[in-house]
Amino acid sequence: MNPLLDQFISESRDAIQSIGERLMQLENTPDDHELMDELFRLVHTLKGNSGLFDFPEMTRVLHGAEDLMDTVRDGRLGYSRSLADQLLEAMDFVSGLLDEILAGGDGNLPADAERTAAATALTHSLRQLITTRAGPADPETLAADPLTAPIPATPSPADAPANVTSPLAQIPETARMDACRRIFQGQPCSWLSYQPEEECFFKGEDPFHQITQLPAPLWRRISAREPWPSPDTLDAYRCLLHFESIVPMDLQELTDHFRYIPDQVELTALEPAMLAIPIGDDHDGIPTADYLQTATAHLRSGNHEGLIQASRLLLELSSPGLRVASALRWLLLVLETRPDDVPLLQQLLDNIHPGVAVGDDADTAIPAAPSPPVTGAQGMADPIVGIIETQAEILALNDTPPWLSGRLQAVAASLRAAFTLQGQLKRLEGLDEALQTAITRHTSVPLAHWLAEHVPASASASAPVTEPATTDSPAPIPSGIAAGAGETRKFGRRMEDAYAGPSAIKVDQAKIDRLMNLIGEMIVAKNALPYLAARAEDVFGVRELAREIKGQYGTINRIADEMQDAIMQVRLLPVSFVFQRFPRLVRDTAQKLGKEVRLVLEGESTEADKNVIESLADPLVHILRNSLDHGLETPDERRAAGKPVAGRLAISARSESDRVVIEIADDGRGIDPAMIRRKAYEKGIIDEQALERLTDQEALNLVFAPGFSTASQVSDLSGRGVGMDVVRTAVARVNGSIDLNSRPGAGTRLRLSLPLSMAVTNVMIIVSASQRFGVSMDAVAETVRVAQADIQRIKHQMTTVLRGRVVPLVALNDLLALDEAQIPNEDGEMAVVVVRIENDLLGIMVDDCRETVDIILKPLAGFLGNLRGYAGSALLGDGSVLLVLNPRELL
Amino acid sequence: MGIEIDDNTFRVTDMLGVEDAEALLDWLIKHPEGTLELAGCTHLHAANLQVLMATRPRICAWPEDALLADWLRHALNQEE
Repeated sequence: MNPLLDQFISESRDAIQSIGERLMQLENTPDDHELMDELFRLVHTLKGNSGLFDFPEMTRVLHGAEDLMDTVRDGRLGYSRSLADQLLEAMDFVSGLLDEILAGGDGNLPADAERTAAATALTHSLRQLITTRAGPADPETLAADPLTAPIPATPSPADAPANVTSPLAQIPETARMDACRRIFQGQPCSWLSYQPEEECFFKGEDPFHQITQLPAPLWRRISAREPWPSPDTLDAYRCLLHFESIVPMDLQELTDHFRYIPDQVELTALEPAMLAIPIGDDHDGIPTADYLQTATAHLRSGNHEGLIQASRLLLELSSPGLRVASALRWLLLVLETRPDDVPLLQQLLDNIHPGVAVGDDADTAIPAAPSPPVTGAQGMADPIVGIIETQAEILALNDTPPWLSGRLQAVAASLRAAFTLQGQLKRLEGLDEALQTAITRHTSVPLAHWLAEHVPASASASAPVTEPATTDSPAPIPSGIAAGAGETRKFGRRMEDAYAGPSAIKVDQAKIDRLMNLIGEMIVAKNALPYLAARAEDVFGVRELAREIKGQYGTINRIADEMQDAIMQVRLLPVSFVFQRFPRLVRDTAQKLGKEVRLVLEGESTEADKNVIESLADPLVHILRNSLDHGLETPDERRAAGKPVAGRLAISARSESDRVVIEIADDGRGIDPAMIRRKAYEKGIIDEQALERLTDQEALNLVFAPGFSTASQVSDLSGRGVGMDVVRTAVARVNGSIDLNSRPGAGTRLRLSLPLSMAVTNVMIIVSASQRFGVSMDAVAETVRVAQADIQRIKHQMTTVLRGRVVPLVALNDLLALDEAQIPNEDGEMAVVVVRIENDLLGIMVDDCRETVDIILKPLAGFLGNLRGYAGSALLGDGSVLLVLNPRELL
Repeated sequence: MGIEIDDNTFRVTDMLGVEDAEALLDWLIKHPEGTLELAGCTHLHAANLQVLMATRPRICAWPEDALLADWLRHALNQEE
């Protein structure tokens, strides 16, 4: 993967993150123009960057988002929740694409029809927001824009975007039959209608090249979307071309081919039934009735020969220009190639019925095809359409006020006036009857039915109202806006992009890690100097040199310490790195659960080592979900309990000496210790005795036990049975600890305490079976010498009493399965390291305790990684390897 | 730039790029009776196609590339 792409991906992630944050902030202060500008700039930059690479889907979606933000920024559209949802969805999509690119490894995004479709849908819904909301706000600008105005001069009806069947009917029969034969032979064919944007030449596109790259079409037509102007006034760089063709390719390939411009092409996989449209003059004087009878009988009985003969006969009788002849030719074609396709044959026979007008057979041929809105709104002036649509809306109201009959009469009167004004009196048939029925039945339904039947186009008005001017051609309008906005933006670009040079530089984490490893090695090398000094004195007997080495060691030690400190600083990250995704998480989750939650974040600038912070992410998410799902009550429950309707979820972080403390508190229902006890008992985690003995706090801690999940019902948010023990394990992995406090009815508070840094670990060296081991000083409570006489056995368990407290003892050699006894010192005393595991003390008997050292702990890797009981290994100053024990896992 | 012009003939010897469309249009306006020789044409940018469609000049030789020639014939003659 090339460095540019690398950078793009990392920058994009940052940008997406910031966009999410800005949106969250906007939710609280929807009128903040600075935020809005910032948001626009982020989306704009992201889009611009994506254009450098071959990710058309990403660019398209971002472009849609940019246009939307531009409208918002200009105040043409207000900020709203649905807008935020749309933008967030778009960003999720982009983020998903980034993942895919990263997963692909080679920096390519293979074409994928599903993804393209998703991108188009997403872009469309983004643009929908612009047209539906911004549209009514200033219809004048839309209508006045020459690009967006519907083009009435188009010569062929092929431009009606929704109806692909009508252009097909214009294709000569031979071409259609050719296509049909190919489809029968297994060669998929597709219909392509490609209308490049007017300004496409400025984007470096060559539509003709796109077209000539395709295999030779079965039929084609190149037209202009408006009559060509005279050569003197022709603008060669305003693209007016319109390509239509039948291409012998399947839809998928074709979609791939046009994946950069899916909004400019119309692609349809062709079916024989779509192609078999008989055309020609109407017939008279041809004895079709007899033929139909025989033909239908033959078709029913499966007598293909008879059907062919009868059809041939009639074909000879009829003049080739007639529609009947055309239908018969199709019939014969289908009979030759696919005699079993009875529905298609039947459909063709139906076409021969006398008296079927040409205009209708498109409908009978393809029942699913949308009927062209001939009787609809098109024949009327816009204000009238508006009136009729308003009436439809009124009728769609489903309340029944006492004045309903008055309302109905008013609606009927308005409709009557509207139609009369248009001179369409015959449309008023049935209005009075419908009105009467409606009034007697005291419902507006009959009238609504009448309206829907008589004015089909206005039926769409019961759906969300769209701007009448846009219903004719919704596609060009957004691009018009985009073009208009794009122009103004070009001039403003310099100013917007010129933000101050960054005072921070971005460094790849691997580089920091390498630096840290090097410093670690230097510390190890530095630690070798005291050994050298000792050797100089003991082996070579040069005390003077030994002293000088020690002096130098002091200097190097100081510098190394500072270097280590500096690199630690670099690795420090603010906890906001993890916190920043919480607002979104809480918002989405709360919405899903139908709860109201106020999230309070504190101490986001508290810093800790990157690894610590990163290891926090998953546990925290889990804790938050638990709080939201189980902790906080629904608004109704809260109201009943006398609490504010919105629950409070507070996450705070602060530094406490060399540790970071993170607290997550909610004011929800809390945890009931009695219930925990019962659950734990039911699940066999504790026995009956423990049930009685446990204090409330101890009971609460049971939620951390493996296999414990307090939710009685598993929801999709939390409670998959993994529970809090996973959280505790994750926290323990970075040497952290976790406590839980809860008061039933008042809320729950979780406290995570984590080390600031994990890079350097202070360990105590112990010796057992003449090997050296390390134990982390964090775990060591004290070291004591215990006389063998003071060791008592309680049921095979060695114990001793330390300051009046019974401490269990274990021998390290037993834990490590070393077949040797622990060696006491000359006075017959055992060396015991007392370690704290959770809140209990345990004495580990060893042969000897030595000094403590700072080491760089490396986790065991590879095959050794599976070894439990070791926290990792470290190099000592004399070059030997020290294994560091993890007492918790040893047990 | 694969264009050769002598007297009344506009000869395309290579491909006709997007920037050639302006020149082509200019020439066609100045020479309404001019002839186009496209035998050597390998591809022409859609902008040129537009110019040809709008001006309908006389074409004395079609491109040798059959696919391209087919497309041009369809575009300019609309033979079906």
